[in-house]
Amino acid sequence: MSRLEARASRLLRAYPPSYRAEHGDEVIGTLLDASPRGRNWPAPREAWSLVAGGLRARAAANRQQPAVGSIRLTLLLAAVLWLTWEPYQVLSSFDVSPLGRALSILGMLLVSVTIAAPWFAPRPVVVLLAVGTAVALGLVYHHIDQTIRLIYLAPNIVPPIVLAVTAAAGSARPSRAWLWLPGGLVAASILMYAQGTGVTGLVSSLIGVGAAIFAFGSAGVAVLWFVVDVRPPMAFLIGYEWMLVPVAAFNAIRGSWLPGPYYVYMAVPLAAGVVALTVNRLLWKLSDRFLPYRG
Amino acid sequence: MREPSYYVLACLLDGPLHGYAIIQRAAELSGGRVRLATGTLYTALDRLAGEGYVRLVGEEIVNGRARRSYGLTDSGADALRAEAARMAQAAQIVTGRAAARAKKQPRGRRQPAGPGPQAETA
Repeated sequence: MSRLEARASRLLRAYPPSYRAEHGDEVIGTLLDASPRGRNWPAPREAWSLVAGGLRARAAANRQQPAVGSIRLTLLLAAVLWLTWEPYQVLSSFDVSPLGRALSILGMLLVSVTIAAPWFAPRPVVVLLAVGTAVALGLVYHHIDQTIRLIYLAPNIVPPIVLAVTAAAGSARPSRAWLWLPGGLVAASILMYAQGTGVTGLVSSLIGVGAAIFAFGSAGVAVLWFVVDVRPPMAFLIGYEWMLVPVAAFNAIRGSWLPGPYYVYMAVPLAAGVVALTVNRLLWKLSDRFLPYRG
Repeated sequence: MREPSYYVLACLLDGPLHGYAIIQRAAELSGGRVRLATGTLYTALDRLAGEGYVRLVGEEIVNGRARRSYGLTDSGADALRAEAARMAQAAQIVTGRAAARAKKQPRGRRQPAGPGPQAETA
C-alpha cells in the first residue's frame, strides 16, 4: 500500500462503516487515479472533499436510523453524560459518609456495565441488569439521605429505568456511533467546571453559572449536532436536569411547587437547545454556500 | 440542480463512465473549469442515484479494486434536458439583449468595451 493510499484510507474513516464497506475501495481507486504520480499526500481539496463528504454521509445515515434505535441510543448517551456528572456531585459533597461514597461508586460501576450491556448481552439480561441497577441506586441514595425526596432521587434512577424500558421495547441494538464520544465528554466536563468553584470560580463570578451553562451548553450542542449526529445533543439536554420535568409536573399536580432554582435548571437547557438549533441551521446554510457540494 | 450534478449528468450523456472518467470528462467539457474532487463526485453520485437520475451499470476489478460504471437513466436525461432548457432561457435574457443591441449598431462603429456614452448614442 502506497503512502498516498494509506493516508487516503485514513481520511475515508470520516465515512460511516457501511459506506466504506460498499464504496471505500472505489473511492480510493478514483482518488489514486486522479492524483499525479509520485504524490504522497492527497491534495488539500481532495482531503477536504473526503472529510466533508464523509461527515455528510454520516449525518444522512444517522437521519435514516429507525426511531426506536435512535431513542435508545439517545437515552444511553444521556446515561453516559449522567455518569460523567455524578461522580463530581457525590465526591464533592461533604455530608456523604465514606460508606455512602463507596456505595455511590458501586452504583456508578453498575450503570457503566448497564450502559455497555446492549452491545454484548441478550435483551432480557439488559432489562434485568438495568432494573437491578435502578433499585440499587435507589437504596444507595436512601442510605446517603434517609429523608431523600423524589426530586433528588429521580435524576439518578431514571437513566437505568429508561434503559430497561427502551431495551425491552426494541430488538435492534444501537449503532456503534463513536464520533460523539470525545465531544460529549468535553461538553460534560465543561459543564462540571462551569457549575463548580475553584478554578472555574472565575467563570462563575464573571458571567454567572447559568450564563456559563447556557453558553458552553449551546456551543457544545451546536458543534456536536453540526458535526455528525442529532442524538448526542438531545442526550445532552435530557441528561442535564431534564429528568426533573416529570418530577416537577408530578409535584405541581399534587399542588406543591418546586423551589425556583429547579425551574431555572430546566429552562436553561431548553433555551440552550433553541439556540443550538438556530446555530445548527445557520451553520448548515453556511456550509451549503462555502463547503464542497452538499450532495 | 447544482453545477457538479449538472456536469456529472452531462458527462454520462454519451454513455456510462467510471468515477475517474467522469472527473476527466467534466474537466474536458468545461474547458478545465470544473475540477470535481473525489469526495464531491461521490457525494453527487449518491444523491443522483438516490433521485433515480443515475444507476450502476457495471463493475470490474482494476488493480485489485472495484471500479464501477454509472449510467444516465431516462429520468436523469429528462432532468438534465429540463435544467439545460432552464439555463438557456436564463442566458437568453442576457445574450438576447446583447445581440439586439449589436444589431442596432452599424458595423465598424461597435464599441469593444462596455456601454460608454458613444455606444448609447450610436
